[in-house]
Amino acid sequence: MEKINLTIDGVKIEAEKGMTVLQAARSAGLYIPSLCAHKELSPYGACRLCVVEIDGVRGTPTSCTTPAADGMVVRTNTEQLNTQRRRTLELVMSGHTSACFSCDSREECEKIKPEPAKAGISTRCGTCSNRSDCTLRSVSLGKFEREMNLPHLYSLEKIERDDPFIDRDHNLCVLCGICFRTCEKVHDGHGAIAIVNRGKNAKIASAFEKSWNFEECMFCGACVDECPTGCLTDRYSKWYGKADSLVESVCQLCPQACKINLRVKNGRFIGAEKVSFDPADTLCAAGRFGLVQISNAAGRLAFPYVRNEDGEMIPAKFAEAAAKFAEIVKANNGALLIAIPETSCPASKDAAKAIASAFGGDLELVKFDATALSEGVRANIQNGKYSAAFVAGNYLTEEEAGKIAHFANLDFLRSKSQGRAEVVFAAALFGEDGAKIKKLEGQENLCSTLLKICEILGIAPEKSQHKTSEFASPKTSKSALPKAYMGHLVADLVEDMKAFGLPFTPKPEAEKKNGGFEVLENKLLAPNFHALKIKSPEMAKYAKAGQFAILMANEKSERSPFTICDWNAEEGWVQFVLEEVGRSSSELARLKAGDFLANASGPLGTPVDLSKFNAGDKVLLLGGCYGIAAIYPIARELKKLGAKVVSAIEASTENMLFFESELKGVSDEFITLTRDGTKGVKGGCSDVYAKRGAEFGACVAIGCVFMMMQCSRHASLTKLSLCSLNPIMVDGTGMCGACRVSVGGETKFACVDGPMFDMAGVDFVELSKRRTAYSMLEIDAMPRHLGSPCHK
Amino acid sequence: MSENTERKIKASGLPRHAMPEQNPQKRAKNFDEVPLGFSLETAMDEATRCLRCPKPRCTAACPVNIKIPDFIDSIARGDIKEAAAKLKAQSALSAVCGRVCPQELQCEGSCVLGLRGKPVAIGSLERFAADYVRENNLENPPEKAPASGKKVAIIGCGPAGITAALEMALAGHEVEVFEGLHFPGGVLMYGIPQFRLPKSIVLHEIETLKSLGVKIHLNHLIGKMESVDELLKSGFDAIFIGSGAGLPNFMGIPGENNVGVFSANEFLTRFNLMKAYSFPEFGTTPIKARRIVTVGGGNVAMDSARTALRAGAESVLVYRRAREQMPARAEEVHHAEAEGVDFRLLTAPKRVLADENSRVVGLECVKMELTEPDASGRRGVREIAGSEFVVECDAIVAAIGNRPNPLIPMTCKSLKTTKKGTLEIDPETLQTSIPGVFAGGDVVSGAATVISAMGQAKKAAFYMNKYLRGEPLNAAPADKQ
Repeated sequence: MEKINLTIDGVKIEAEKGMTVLQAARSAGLYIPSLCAHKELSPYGACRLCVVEIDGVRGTPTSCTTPAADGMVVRTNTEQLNTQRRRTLELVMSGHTSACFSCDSREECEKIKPEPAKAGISTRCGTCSNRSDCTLRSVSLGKFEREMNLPHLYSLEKIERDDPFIDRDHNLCVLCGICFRTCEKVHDGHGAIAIVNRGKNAKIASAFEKSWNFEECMFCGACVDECPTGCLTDRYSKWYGKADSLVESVCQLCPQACKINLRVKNGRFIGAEKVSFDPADTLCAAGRFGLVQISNAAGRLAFPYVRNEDGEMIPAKFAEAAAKFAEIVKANNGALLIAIPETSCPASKDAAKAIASAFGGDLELVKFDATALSEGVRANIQNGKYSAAFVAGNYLTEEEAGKIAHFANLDFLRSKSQGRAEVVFAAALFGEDGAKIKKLEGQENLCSTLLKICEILGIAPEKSQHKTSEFASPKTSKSALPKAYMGHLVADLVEDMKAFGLPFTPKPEAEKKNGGFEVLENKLLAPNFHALKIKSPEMAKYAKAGQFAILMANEKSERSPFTICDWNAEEGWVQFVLEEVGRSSSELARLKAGDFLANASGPLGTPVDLSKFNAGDKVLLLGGCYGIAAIYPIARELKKLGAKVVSAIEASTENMLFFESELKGVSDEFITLTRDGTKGVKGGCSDVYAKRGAEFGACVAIGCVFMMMQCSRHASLTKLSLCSLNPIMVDGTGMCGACRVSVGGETKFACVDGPMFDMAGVDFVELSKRRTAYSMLEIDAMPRHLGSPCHK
Repeated sequence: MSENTERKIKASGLPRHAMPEQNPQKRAKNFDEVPLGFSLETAMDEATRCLRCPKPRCTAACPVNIKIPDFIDSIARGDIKEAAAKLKAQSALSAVCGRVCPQELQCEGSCVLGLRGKPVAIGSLERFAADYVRENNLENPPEKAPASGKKVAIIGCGPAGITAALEMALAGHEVEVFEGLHFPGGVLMYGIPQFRLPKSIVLHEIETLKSLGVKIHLNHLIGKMESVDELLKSGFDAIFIGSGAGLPNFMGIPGENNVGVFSANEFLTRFNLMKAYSFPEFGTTPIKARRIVTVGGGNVAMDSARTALRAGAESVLVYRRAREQMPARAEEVHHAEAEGVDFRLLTAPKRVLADENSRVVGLECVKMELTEPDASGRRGVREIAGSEFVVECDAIVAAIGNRPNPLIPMTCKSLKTTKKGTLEIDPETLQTSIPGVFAGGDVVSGAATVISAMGQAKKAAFYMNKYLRGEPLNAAPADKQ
């Protein structure tokens, strides 16, 4: 390769001929910011962040599209270039949900919230699933001035969730074009998506903005893998965050046996991705999106079972189960059946063949997509030919299994035929075996199971040549997608596969119960924030400012606490303002007027002690997030008492504000703050407390843990300073102690001793850690398939 | 030879029937009930072992004074319906009591046969009779006295509340029960696990209550809604408080608020009431841990340690005293051990160890030794200096007792409480410091057993009836056994 020499920022570097200036700089370890450049894709020149000055070249060319030439003198870091980049980024940000970039407390806030919060829609980095892996973020941090001079033009489009597996949030798109360029590259020039429309309305879409499932898109997920922002996301795995390692494996869902990278985090399989941009390495929807859901399916077998003399199935160690089956093989020489899927790895097939031939058995390689054995073998089973069998997968009916005296089954899920089995092996799938992904003790894959049995029987399998069978690739035709895996219907385990017309087992529809608490109104106040009004004359009769209630959308829901924001005893209703975060809040957010909540238990908690306030007292009320609504009843009651109420509310940005007119109506002075300065004062409530706290006798702050923690630093300015804590609760009546918090060095139960506490003594760091106790499981709990209550 | 002597000779030679149980290795991984119950034949056979003592010590030892030889006699004759009716006359919840009573300390502990051999399996027989009539639909609808025109409020729908409600309803009063949670049953639902007490049994008892016209208000926490005073003012003629002991004790050791330290109440509630074992179908998150340490030696500790196994974890039990001092039912200790709970006796927790994310990584413990018996014969324990060691774990469950929830006395100042936070009552009549307001169960005795709560509720019901009839309470009851 011919070498050229050039100078970048005074550094003499050597590059290969044909490289762009950007490539030359990067190969020398020099940094030029860019959003749209991608090492696998051809230059595009869209984002204009990689602009440089080159001696003898007019203007500021984009380095990603300018070929490097011998003797070039390039500057990347001049005042003019940086100003230009800042302006460009500002333009990008004015159409992006960028409140966190402009927030002066970002660094500290993200220390308290190391993982972004789940949300119905991303409204800032703090609720963006892609925060840990966002190119826009890494490019912007440092280069970006917190002051924004351009108006914010969020389109606030609804997230598109009507296609299988992929969520599209166009608010987060920066039109870098990486997605459609990737699509074109991995599909050999036949891309399914492109940028449609112009200007403000430009977005990534398939032709005519139809559903992506309409025709061309194969749901290979390559675009999702490469999207540098949170625009295109994998609905199932996005909230798990960035993987801590990639594990190479082979997909065994169909005979193609594609290479695949498994994303692993904390020893858990959280997603899959292609191994390269080579069109041959493209994945199908089942591999890219289905594999992880199959592996994490509910009801996985965690350990083997062996039937004892009393006929009971007893959990056993793997070695015990293997030894037991080896005995069965020896005792049933000549009447043996070994059936394994044809998609099994070559070593498994060799081992199965060795056992079958050494002990006079039949070997059946079960056809891809089958849910039963071949006709011939089934007839043999009915005729009683086999007194022993090893079947890997859910291929036998209970009746068929009953015809075999000694039946051994290997599967990753429970199945009916296991009721007749003598030995059941728990299958490890894909990369779960070995040390690749942390597995449960007792789970072994098909290959190691068969090899162990061979070892016990003293036979050595021969290595033979294996050909992959001829079959239409699911990468090129959705009708070729695998319908069954190990005898289980794929669409039963991966619900979104139903959208491709795959067969599934119909589930009985859940009976809709109309008992409980009627929803009178549910309105959207701001993105993710819902005002839910329910009928409950008893709760309305006893509710007081500062109290909360435990709500359960249905009988299977978790008990979750929500602050009572408004009520009317005469009309018999109470209102809650809830933020759509995980499963519980999403279930509640989906309820419409006329629907019923299964349970509403309240009022709970100790109300604000109004006897501590007198007419004429000056009180400062601070509200952020759901706290905006939570301070409303306190303001109202204090106003009734004749106190002078100053209310200040904060939101990340203008469109996240709500309840303004309600609060104005019960406040003597009302202050609006936004973290990005788009409305009112730029900053947070704690700034108001710091500046003006000394004017007041009391302060009440309600909001996220971080907001209250910031406020608590100024608690000494007022005689009384209260906050309302929001830890995890189960019963909310003092029974479980999940909600314990440290206040002034003492352990308190937030549900009965609180939720209002003197903010000066609260250990907020402990509170924020305790709130994350179930973060991974809370993601698992979310139904993430098409049409699920969390994502409609 | 007299019939009795003949029986004695026969009984002394008959071995006690053991209840068949699910295989320990199998049951340690499932939530199904462990003891499988007697068959009719076994039950009748076991029943013949009873000597029918003229002065039955077992009946005297029973907190609700079940006429034990009588019901056993019915079983021996094969008249299970009659046996169940005899049980029902004294106990509202025989299917429950047969499963959760500490029989070795009560009826079976005082059985004459136990002096030389093994006592009659009274608990198993009680369970059998109750199950048999329930499963075969042989139960007689309970007979209700004519309407009295009086209204009674019952606070709490646990064992005490259910018993009191049943007694009051049978006496013809209009009964309303107030339950704070979204499900009736109290500790029978949230605390005692499915594998020890199938929830269908509790639901059946609740249905019986409803069939008697008892109104159950769920999600209704007295103290946060009406106070006790307000209930009285709103037209209830008498009130029974059976709000239990729901406030968990923690160990009071450093590091206790780290992520991964739970009260047994939380741990069990997640798995029982909220069905976290069916997560993610049910939304409540289970506790996923590799190794769970339970601290304590009572029934709740055994329930927690055994639930930990079923949640897929290794289960270690840390108890500061020796096995002999464990307050748990003998059967529970035996079950826990058979299932593979790793017992660390004479071991006390000292400190919770956590990683940089405040997640539990271990429990520092210290070895203990028994001291010489004191004047009362009780042996204390003391630390062995320098014997600290760490039990590695990623979750810790504190099962070291509960106190009554202070909610009710907090919101009703005229209700007097003791230093322990329990309600002050007249020990004979169970009336509280407010006339017409009675109390029973753990809210009076601190954390005790289901059957003692029922016994107290029954006793309180007797005096409530007197109170409602306008009779003086202090006169000795005529028909008290």
